[in-house]
Amino acid sequence: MSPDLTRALHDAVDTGPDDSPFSVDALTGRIRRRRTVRAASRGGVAVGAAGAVALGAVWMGGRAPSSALPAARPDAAQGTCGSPVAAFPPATGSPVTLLPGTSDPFASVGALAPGESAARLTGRTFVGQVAVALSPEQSFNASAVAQGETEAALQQLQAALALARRQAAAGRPTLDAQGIAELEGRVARAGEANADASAVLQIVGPDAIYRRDLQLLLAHGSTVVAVGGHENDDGEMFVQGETALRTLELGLQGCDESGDLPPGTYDLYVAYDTDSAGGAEADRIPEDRALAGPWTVDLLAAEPQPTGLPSEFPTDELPLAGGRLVSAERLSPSPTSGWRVVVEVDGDDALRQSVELLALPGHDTTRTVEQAVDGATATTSLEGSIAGWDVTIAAELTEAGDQSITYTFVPTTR
Amino acid sequence: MTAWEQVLDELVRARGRALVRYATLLTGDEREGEDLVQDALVRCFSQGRPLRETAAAESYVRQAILTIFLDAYRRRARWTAVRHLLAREDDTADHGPSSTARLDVRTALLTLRPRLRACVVLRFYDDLTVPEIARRLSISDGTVKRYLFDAIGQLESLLGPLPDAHTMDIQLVPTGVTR
Repeated sequence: MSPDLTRALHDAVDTGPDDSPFSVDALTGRIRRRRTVRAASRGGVAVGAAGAVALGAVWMGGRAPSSALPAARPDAAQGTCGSPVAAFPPATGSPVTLLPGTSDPFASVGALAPGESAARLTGRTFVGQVAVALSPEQSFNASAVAQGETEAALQQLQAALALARRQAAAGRPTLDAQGIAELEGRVARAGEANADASAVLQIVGPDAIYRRDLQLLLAHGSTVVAVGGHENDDGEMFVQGETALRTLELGLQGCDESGDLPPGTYDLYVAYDTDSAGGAEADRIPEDRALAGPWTVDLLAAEPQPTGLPSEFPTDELPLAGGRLVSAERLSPSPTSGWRVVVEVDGDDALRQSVELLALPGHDTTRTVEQAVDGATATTSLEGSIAGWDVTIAAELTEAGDQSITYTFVPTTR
Repeated sequence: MTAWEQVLDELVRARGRALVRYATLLTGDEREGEDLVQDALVRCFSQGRPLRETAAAESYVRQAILTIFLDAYRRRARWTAVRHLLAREDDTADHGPSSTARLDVRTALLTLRPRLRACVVLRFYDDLTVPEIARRLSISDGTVKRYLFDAIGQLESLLGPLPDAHTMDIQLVPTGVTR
């Protein structure tokens, strides 16, 4: 009997038990933490809107931001809030490096040397990639895992072939001899691909072959003021050749819950286990940890939302990144047409900020959707939808370092 | 309990399992489906735009599931992917003819490449038109048609004729004719 595809899919999704599949409480906790970070970030924009002059006066007047920073606690445990950076033993020949956390295509793609700028940010989240050198043995193990991926694809095809053969044996064949031969061919090709498995892969979960318990630390002067980006069992690790890459995120709020860190230049470090075999956290002693870095992170003052927009532009529905308005125009003369708005912005995280303010569903804001370089201008763009609008956001960056965000808002016609 | 927490609670209780089954259509593995749904819920409810209505929130979360799935799949070789995903004997027990068809469809679906799988789910479960799928996946209408053509061909090679796949308002074009 021929299956009805629509009905089968609806049956697969909409029939069955309706019990709650997981704890809402745990989920709510995760969401609250993320909302807190985002609210703090947006709060920065609002503060900028209301008091840009005041912030400028404070900063330009030469006052160091440390009055709003977590206090130094010389006796605090290594790597904790307020602790001295010097609590870590000096390290030489670190196997840990940082890659640029920016989407700037003109930036070097190589590892950053200590002292180089890791990011200039208007928001209060740092996202960076940490690279860890692997031993030849660990690299070999990684290749074995990549083999596992193509093995899975091969198993899927083998299962499909087995299904077709079972159906034929049961007297209700869905593939003729030629179809089965074609499927056998695909199984053979998948087997070859399996033998040539790439060694670029992602490993997730506690079975990861290798971890250094990486952690991002932000310091002002010699004092740790923000702690985060801790490697955990849910983290993801990419392995390419003899390098493992991990993406870590650090909320740039004072670790004493004092709120967003003030503008200024900070030092970013990566703390790691010196023992590459890992080990239980409880067994760790301070001598087991070391610091890579520092790299600099410049926190910029949040810009207010652009002023001078046409009165009919729906600012409540379509919040824009902070910056200077370059242009705002209708896509056509019709009063129901969409908008194209260009805003000049600062910071490596302008695109990320734009997406977060609009809250495009499902977009991982650390990800570049499309990137193109045309002469001296690079464009990074992504598309999405929010209630009532299809949105395209394109971040343009010139070789001279000027940045702008071009929004295109088209009313949803559905 | 705040408004968003209430919507989240209602959504998970009333439709959480269905969302997991939806995600499992894509992942082929229920546990990965659960992870995917939780990530999508966290992402959707963490953002500033309020979700005040459960049905709208479900649609929003389904979009996020698709986006996260496709985004992750390109790069992902999950450690757990080495397990068998297909034709587990315990899946076939105590089901009637409809369930058998469902299992076969689900099994066959997993042989499709992720983008083709996503197109099939959006077309035949979410009931989206070709332009809507194209917009959702940020690809052209022609590419969606090609994906659906290839996907349906591949599914029919495993499942036999799929009459409802040919009664839709789409004109499928063979690979290479039109992009």
